[in-house]
Amino acid sequence: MSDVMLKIKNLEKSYDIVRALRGVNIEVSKGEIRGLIGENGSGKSTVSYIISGMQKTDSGTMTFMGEIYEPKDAIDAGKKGIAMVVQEMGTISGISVAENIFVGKEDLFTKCGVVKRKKMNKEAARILEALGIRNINPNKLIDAYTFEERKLIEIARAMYESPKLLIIDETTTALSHKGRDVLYRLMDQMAKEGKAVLFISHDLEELMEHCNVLTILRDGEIIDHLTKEKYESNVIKKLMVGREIEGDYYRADHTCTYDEEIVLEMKHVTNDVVFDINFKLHRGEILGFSGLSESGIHDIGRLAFGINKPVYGEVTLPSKGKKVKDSRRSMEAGVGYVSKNRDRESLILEDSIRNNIAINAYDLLKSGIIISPKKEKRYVDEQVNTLRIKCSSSEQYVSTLSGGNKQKVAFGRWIGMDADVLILDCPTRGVDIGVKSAMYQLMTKLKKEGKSILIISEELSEVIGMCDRVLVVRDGQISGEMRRDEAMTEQSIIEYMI
Amino acid sequence: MKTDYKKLISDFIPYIAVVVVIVFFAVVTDGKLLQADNMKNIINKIFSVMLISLGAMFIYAHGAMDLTIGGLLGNCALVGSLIILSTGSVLLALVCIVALGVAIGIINGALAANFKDLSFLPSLCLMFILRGILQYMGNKGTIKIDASYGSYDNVGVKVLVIAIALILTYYLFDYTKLGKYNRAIGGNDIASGQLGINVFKYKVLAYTLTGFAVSIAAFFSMVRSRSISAETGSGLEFDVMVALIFGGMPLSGGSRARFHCAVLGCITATVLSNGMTLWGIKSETISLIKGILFLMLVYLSYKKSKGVLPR
Repeated sequence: MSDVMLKIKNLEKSYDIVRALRGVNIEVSKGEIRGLIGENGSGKSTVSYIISGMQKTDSGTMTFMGEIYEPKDAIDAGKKGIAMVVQEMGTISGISVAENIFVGKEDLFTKCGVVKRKKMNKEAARILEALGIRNINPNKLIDAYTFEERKLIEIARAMYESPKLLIIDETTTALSHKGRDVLYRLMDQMAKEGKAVLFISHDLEELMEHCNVLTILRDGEIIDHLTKEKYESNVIKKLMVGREIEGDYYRADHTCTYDEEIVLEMKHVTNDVVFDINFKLHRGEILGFSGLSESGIHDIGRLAFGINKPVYGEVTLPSKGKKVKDSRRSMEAGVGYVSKNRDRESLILEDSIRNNIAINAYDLLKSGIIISPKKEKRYVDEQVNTLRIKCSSSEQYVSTLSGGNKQKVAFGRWIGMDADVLILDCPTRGVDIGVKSAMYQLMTKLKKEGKSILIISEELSEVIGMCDRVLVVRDGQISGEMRRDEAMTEQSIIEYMI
Repeated sequence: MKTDYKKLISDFIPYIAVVVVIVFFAVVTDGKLLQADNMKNIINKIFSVMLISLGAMFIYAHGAMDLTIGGLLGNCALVGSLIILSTGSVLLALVCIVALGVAIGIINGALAANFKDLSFLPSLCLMFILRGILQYMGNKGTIKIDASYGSYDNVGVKVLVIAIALILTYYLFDYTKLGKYNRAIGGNDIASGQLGINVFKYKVLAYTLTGFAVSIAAFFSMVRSRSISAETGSGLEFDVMVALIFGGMPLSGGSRARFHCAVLGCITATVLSNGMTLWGIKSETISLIKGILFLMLVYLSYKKSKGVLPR
């Protein structure tokens, strides 16, 4: 199998000051299933985005099938024979399955400006059939299907142009065993036909079982290429992290501890996304909500803080004897909320760190109606120091900070307010490892002080590492509960998730 | 630190503009600009625009605009004149003018806050209604009050009123929740809401303050002209808008909305029109020049704020 299909040489890519890729070289042969593994932020997704034409490289060259390969965009890459299934939701809701499969290719079925639906549906059915997917009707709206089925539809879309190279980016986490089998079968078949697959996953077992070669990335650099006979999970893990994994990254203890006192409770909470959600958050507890992004976990956070209101059921703060009505009253009752969507919902980007941190604390900082600039500065500097926010001064604009430091600003407001209950939606999203570990230490400290934390996260290792209890949500309903003292594993959570 | 230079320059442009405009017109008009008579003229002209701008900057800070200003001023003056004509009490007239200004401010604010991104729409509708009332009354004939009331039109009093307004709004804008929250809403209204800011309340308060400022300006306008017609206050909302943008006020609001925008912009805009008139430029040409300058400024302001608008 010396037939090289794709050759990548010296790929470099930077986002502002962050160097995502440094001199990456990869050669993929015909008939190969190549695994790509590395921690979050190691550059796996960046590599796949560049190959599939969704992003441009800063420097370096790519050769595909012996020709210089410089895709203009994803459509161009598709024409040249490279297709990709992305990590996030890649289907368009509100249109049919067939329309999703042929999005951008409607011309194939158009006569005199009219799209021939029947022909399109027939063709879509044929593709799904070829992949062994039987229970999907191409004529139905895509919204009728679950997350997993939609992923399979995306795979069908990618396969339509019979690509020579298929890139699969973290798709299997969304698939059940049945769905995975469809995918594995497809991968094997492609390899047999002399095509190739670039397979990205967090699941080491899966990669070791299905890939011929594994490429390990760390901090944007290729660490090693391993062939199948050299696979050993401990070696690979060590190569990924670059050191022995430290004990204190997450919480050190393995016991489930919290007081009896209930600080936040949901009873039969129902809205258009979630259904009959019941749970109690106790004093000194870290409670995790885990599930796929569309499962409704983010809505639970918004409902708990009072940003969204339940259609049925109620959210209460039993220790305060209050009902959750809106974000203002929740805040006054000592509840804090950090949104998943940091730049859009949480921060005022074009404003100073000072104004961003002090914004919800003016009532503490004023004498009469005048807000004292001195008190304000002291208050802000205190948060900047405790959280070690890297900045030239508190007058620096938040838009110029890195993701991790932005998140610290969003945290700082609530730490300063001494909130008793913190609702954190994806608290470490897009944050580097150093800041992450600082956040985890802070959460552990807050727990010891008797504060309660609600973590909503799609990152399984994080909820397992930090939470006393984990509630798993599937299709808007709680589908399982696990406690820290029982054995919580990623696999057991995934079982509940899908 | 390239960005800091840029910020520094854009911060100073309004100051530079004031100096350039004053020096330029003082020179081309052979000093006529700075003569006592003309200074009095300028102060009278600046008075209304600045007083209202000091209120309206709270609205612009949260990223909206108010189009009712001229119509409201006209109606306040109309009500005041009618009360003076029937009762002769200046105090009662003043009280009613203020009450009307504040009431319309609250209504305008409540409507605008409900329309969120399209806040100028209810403002526009209200403008038509207010102008319609004025035209209806104006068509019956000009309403005049006695010339003796002109004694209330005192430059000293006006300077005092402006001084108080400057001090008050300076503190309100930079050192109280009213100013800080309105700028935060302009910066990111979603985040502001999630942080427990009562977005509706603070938006309405901004309009209320503007309504109050308009009513005070209306009182002085009434005793100065002593006659109310369909055209009273016409176009004033645009004078305020031009002044604020000349002062560097970003249309998207947010942290770059500064107190000095209102103060400096009013001076630049007023001296510019006054200077061109003194220089002997025809009024229609002045309109043309103002339009082109305004377009340039809006363009620059929009370019600058592009990064500020994540939506």
